Amino acid sequence: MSSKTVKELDAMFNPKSVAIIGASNREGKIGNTIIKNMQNSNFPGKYYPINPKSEEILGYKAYKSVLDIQDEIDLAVICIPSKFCVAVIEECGKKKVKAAVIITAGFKEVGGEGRIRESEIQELGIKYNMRILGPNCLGLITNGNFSFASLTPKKGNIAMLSQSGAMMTGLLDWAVNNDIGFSAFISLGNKVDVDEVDFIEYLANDDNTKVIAAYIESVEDGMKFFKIVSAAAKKKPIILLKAGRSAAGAKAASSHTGALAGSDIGFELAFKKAGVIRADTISDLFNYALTFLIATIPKGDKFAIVTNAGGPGIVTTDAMDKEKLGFAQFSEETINLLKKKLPTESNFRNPVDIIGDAPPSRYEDAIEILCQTPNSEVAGMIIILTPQSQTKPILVAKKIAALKKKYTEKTFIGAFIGGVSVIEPMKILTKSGVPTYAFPEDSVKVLKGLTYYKELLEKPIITEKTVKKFNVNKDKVKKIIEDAKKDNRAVLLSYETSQVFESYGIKAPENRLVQTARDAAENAKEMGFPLVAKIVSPQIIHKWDIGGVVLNIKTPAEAKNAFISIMTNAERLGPRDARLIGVELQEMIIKENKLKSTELIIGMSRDPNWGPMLMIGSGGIYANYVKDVAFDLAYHFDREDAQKLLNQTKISKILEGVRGEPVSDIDGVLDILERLSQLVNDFSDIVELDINPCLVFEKKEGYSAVDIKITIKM
Amino acid sequence: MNKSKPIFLCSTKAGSGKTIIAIGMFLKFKEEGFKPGYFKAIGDAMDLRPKTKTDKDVNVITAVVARQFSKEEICPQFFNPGFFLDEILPEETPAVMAHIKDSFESMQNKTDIIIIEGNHNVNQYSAINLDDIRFAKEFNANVIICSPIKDDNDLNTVVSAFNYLKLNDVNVIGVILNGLSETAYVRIEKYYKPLLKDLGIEVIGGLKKSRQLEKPTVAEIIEAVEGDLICGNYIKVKNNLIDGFVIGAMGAESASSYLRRGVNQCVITGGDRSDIALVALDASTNLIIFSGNIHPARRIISVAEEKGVPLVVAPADTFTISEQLKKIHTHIQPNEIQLCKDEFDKYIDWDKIPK
Repeated sequence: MSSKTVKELDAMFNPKSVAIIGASNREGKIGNTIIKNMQNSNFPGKYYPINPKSEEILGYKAYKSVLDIQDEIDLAVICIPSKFCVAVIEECGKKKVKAAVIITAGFKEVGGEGRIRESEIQELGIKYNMRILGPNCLGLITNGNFSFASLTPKKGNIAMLSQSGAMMTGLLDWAVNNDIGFSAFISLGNKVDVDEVDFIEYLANDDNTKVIAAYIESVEDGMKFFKIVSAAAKKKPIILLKAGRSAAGAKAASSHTGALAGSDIGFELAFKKAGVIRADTISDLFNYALTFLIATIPKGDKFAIVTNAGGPGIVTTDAMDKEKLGFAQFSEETINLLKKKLPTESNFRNPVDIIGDAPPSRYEDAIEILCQTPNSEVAGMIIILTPQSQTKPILVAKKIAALKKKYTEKTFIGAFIGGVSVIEPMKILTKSGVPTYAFPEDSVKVLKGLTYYKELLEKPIITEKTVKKFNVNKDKVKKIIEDAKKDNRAVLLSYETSQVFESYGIKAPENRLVQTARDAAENAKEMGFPLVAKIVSPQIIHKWDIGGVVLNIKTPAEAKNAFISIMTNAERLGPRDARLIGVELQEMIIKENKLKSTELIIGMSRDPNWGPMLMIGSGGIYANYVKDVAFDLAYHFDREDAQKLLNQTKISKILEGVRGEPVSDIDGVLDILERLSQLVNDFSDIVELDINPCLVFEKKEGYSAVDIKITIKM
Repeated sequence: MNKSKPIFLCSTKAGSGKTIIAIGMFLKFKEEGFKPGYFKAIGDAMDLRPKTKTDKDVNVITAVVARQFSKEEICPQFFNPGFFLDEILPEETPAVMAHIKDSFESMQNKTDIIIIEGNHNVNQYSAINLDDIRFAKEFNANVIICSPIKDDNDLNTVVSAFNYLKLNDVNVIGVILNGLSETAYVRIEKYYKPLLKDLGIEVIGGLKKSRQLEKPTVAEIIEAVEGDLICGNYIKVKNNLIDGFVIGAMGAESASSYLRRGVNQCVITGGDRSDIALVALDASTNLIIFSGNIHPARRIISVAEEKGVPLVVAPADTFTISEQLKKIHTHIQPNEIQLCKDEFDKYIDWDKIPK
């Protein structure tokens, strides 16, 4: 890592002098478009076109090299063939250019020479302490348009980042058409140096930026993301659209970015932990961005609906329920006030139906009554309008705008259903801090975004959370992992997994490895009965499926037969060339002897972006079919997180005790999750871990992690 | 030094590790001050194209171990095991035998002791009277039976081969058990040695499975699937070993679990499966084969270059490639010669071999 800081990005946001390397007089050339875009966007600084073959370009003196310029250069925009870029970056470094934007393609994305060039550029950036955007990007728009996009949007307060250049051009075109302004518009490209997280860190402290929105396909460094983004999200809303949600989308994204994408659930959890608002679609991204720009963050979590039409009121109620938004229950006082002002046919409870013939004054009355309630009763409202002959949408909009001005603490979201007659009212409302959409579902969604952000502001920053550390035997686990690696095994053997768990204070039954049937009989006799016998082979994942497990062994003779049977089955049904190390004997827990026994699955899979991801749910042989599982990232994971995670599963109800059954050892389960979190955070070599089943008994009898699999990174 | 009786390595079935033992033994004799020779009466001509005509084991031995001898001296005769009757009929055997004997005698004149590597199994070429029994007798050799042992069943084969050779008046000095798994290795001391001793069969050694010697190399795999290397430096990667194969036909998330468990694996998948390729590149992967000659996305090649993982495109479909890979027969590589000696020293009782 270099000693670079995001402060140095100032040279990209407020450059005073810009060298355009590859500038051209020829119409259609990128170097020509960029200068024209700079001119059209009224870039206030100095222009330094670089082209060895020209004396003057578009009215500016041209230079053969940046080294020929006398002045200091803040930013170099490079649009020359990739094979010349390394030399040019070296020149920029020597010239002490503060930042560079490499628009040129033909680097890592094409492999071979391109990949080598990109790493050379990366090294030069570090050597000369120069921040570099791109390569393979459209450029950026900050205090000037340093891109080759065909349009320049107006100035505004949304900062937009895009990993796709083509997406950026489309969005710009749309934004210009919809009169949306930006504080910055940045195409990220290959992210050789500066990535989305660096920009978020910079933009969080940028006064011109009120909202940060980004389209991303991959995240380079999950831990850096947590550290920076969670702090930035406290300062201003960050909305991310992450492409590749579906398996097919992830596949498409992987060939586009060359980045290994973790599961979508990993991104979902990480965004929640970091406090990012996730947009599902491009239109959601902008709806959120525009909403956050103008709307009031709710001061409570209960919302009302005011509508002049019953149907849309019900649709909105359904949408609020789906999004788990708090539905306001009015006090008797509020209901009486509404009764006094509204016609008797109205609905005085939530949703407040002021009926079809409602004139603007009726909207005003109903909204004002709700505004006068405490925030705990009604924090905000969705105001629905369907244009009917008495409605007068413009006047309604003006009344709402006035009320918004009067009651600044309340959150107003509009849902003006219609076409031509609601265009002007929507503009009035948007200008007054009331985000308004044509359909209630969009209004509900943005309101959900606002409440999500409100909750986020109330929570501590994830990186500042202290997590309890258990007293464990780390050295022993380290040794076990090292030995397995020496033995060329990615999978730990059963007796090793038992020792790993024991070292971290997680209870697992005793087991022994045997390598002949006679040994099985002798060891069984020493261990006592009943026992379970299982195949030990790193290549056999599903032991049951190949007849690799024998239960309820009650005599030495049965142990002997179990060994032979398991080894024969493994040979016959197991994978070709599977390494059969032997059979493990393990104490068998008889469920019938327990007052209560519940099978859980507890696991961990290391996400390539976000690190260890914990999982818990209903276990046993049907675990894959029941799919009652919940996930959370082990990053700063504590007991409260463990409880929340468990509560997301259906099996948690069973653990709490139903139909007169006693309460299970829930504390034990939470303890496993916490200790497991510490284990997988301590050892990044552990890439997968699976306990299935983990038998949980009634409170006094504890639990037993019966079948454990641990996979390590080779 | 007086001439010692030749040692004839006879196997119960193909893949018994005779070449490993022969190379180890050759080097050991050399170390002990002998002038050893190596002889293989009939080599494999699996592929009649000129560059691969000679037996691959013979190639390695002449190139690295016994460089003083020519390939012809070491191995005077080649047959294709599946079509040998197209090359020799029983009435031609005497002439072939005479030619083999000439070569053997020539070798004998130049050496103190000759290690003779027998046919693939004790019965091979019996139809033309050129089997191991014939050679052992003609060359007046002491025979060591080499046998791969997977489980107890293979022990029957060892005993049967011993009895068969004895019946034919061949002097058998013992057996070397080879390719022993973890459990089989435990069984040697516990069961096999006492049992064989009771039957009058001396156990000269038991070689544990050797990853390095039994796993195929990247070069062998590329040859087996007739693939083209599209990423990676052949010289650098050709000797890398492959410990296992994974067919990447499942979803990326399921694949992740399988691929993470693999070590030095070869992943076979479609060229359009960038998702699988990326998961494989993040795991312990030594080779990725893209089936159907479909090239992967440039981005994937770029990541593979960065990670140093070779990529190959092969013409066959994924299923056919997996079938082709099943048929791979591994051979000793020049860089594995010292390992053969180390294995020999570690697992063979040198005192039990008559000099």
